[in-house]
Amino acid sequence: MTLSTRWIAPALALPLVLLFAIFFVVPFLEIMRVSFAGAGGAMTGISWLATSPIFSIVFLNTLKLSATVTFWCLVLGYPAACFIAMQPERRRGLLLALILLPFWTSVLVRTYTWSLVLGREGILNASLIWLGITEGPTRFMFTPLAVHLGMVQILLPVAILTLVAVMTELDPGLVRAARVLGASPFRAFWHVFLPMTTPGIVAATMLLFILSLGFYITPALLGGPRHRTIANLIDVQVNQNNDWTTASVMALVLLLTTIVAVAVLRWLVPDRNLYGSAR
Amino acid sequence: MTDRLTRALLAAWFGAVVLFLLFPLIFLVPLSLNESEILSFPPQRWSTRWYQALFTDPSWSGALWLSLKVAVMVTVVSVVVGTAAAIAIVRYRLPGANYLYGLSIAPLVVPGIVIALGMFMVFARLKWLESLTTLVFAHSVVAVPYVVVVVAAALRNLDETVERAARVLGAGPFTTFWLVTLPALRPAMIAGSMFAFFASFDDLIITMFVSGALETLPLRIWNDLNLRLDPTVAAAACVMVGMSVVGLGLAEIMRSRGLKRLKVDAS
Repeated sequence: MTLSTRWIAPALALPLVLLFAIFFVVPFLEIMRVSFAGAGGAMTGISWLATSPIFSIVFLNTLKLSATVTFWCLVLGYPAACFIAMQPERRRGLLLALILLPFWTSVLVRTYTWSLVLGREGILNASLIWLGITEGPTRFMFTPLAVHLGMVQILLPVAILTLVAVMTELDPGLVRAARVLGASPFRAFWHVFLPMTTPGIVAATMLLFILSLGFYITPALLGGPRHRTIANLIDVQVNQNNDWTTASVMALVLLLTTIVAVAVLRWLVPDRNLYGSAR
Repeated sequence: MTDRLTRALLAAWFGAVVLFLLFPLIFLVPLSLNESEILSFPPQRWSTRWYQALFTDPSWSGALWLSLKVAVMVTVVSVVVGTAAAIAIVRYRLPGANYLYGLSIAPLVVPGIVIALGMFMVFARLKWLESLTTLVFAHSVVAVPYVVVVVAAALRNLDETVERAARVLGAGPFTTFWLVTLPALRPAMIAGSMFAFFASFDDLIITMFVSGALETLPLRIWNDLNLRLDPTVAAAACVMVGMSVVGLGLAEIMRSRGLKRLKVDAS
């Protein structure tokens, strides 16, 4: 190996290392530093965490919201993914395009469109009144329902794409064999197909949960002040209360929760190419 | 019989899911073409006045222009940085390549608000906020991962013997790269650049924390949503949807075509 080729690889990696050092690693270290070096000594941030009722409520809310959204995405997405995986390959691309279309649309735009549907003079209220089901406008905005609807719509494509990726890799012959050997469609599904897709379900669950944890835009626009997530509370602490210490502590907690979830995912599903992680 | 019933049920379920996914987006076009100041449905009179406002009102057209400018610069930075890193990781088996790959895709799973807060605190101290350069590099951190993922996948698919053959036939490392590797990577690089463009163009959270008074299109929409519901937002949203459908549709086609072509070449 000549001198020049020995330096090629580090030279090629250098721009990325520099960019990430300054704009990713240093900001992360700053969060750690601020968390532990609050005005009143090393433990202010941590003790605030332990004693603040707001933090624990919002943290639990975020976990609960993420779990519910993940659950609904899987329930709605699994049969839809089955349907796509069953199709011949040519048609599969077309059906996937229908899922990718909303997936590509910015989260801000999709959240905004929900406010048009659910608003006081929105499409839903207009239709309900026109149909004579309700007399006056019903309040849909700033409710947990609105936040859930918005988040499920935003994350459902991720669930479907992850599940389809796993299902299309399976050998369809195994299900057919079970059927030929006399298993009912339900038995063939329950004892053959479902167990084979378990890695996909696990991967999708963890991925959806991780992505839900950090949601900011949708709860901020569609939820009321009582349905805030950790991400919203971090924003409030920094931009309204100018309190960087508690914001950093919460960011650290959010980050640690994410890291634990990623570690569990890697441990449960080793080396799987996760489609949704590409966005 | 039961099989056909299952199929029909699954098809119906799929249809319902697609309807749910597209449902709120369907109303965007008619609402953006509504003449009225109030977002009422169905529209009474049609007009393109909100599109005119988007392109002529300086606060809107300025935001659109800034977003495009930033996204183009981010795309250039990300494609160069990401492709170089992907080559170092996949081809040169750099020590610690796995860690470098892990680091380069970490921004995809780390919540945006955490990155944004960290950047805000560092740049506030350094007085780097409200700068176009800062905004471009900050966006690049969330855009580079797409380029690394797509280009690295294409590189792993590209048979190394093709490159080795070029070397054996007398081409230097740079000639080989320029005439063999780069053309083979082109579809992946185009796909990666599209993903990078929209990672920047659609970003709100990082922009909110580091851009200060610089208002990109998503930030302009955001600031408007918290005050009043101006129908110009609907027009802006429509433009954003149109752009991403075309751009990312192209990227997806390029990405799969790139992977397929490399497979055929290698066999």
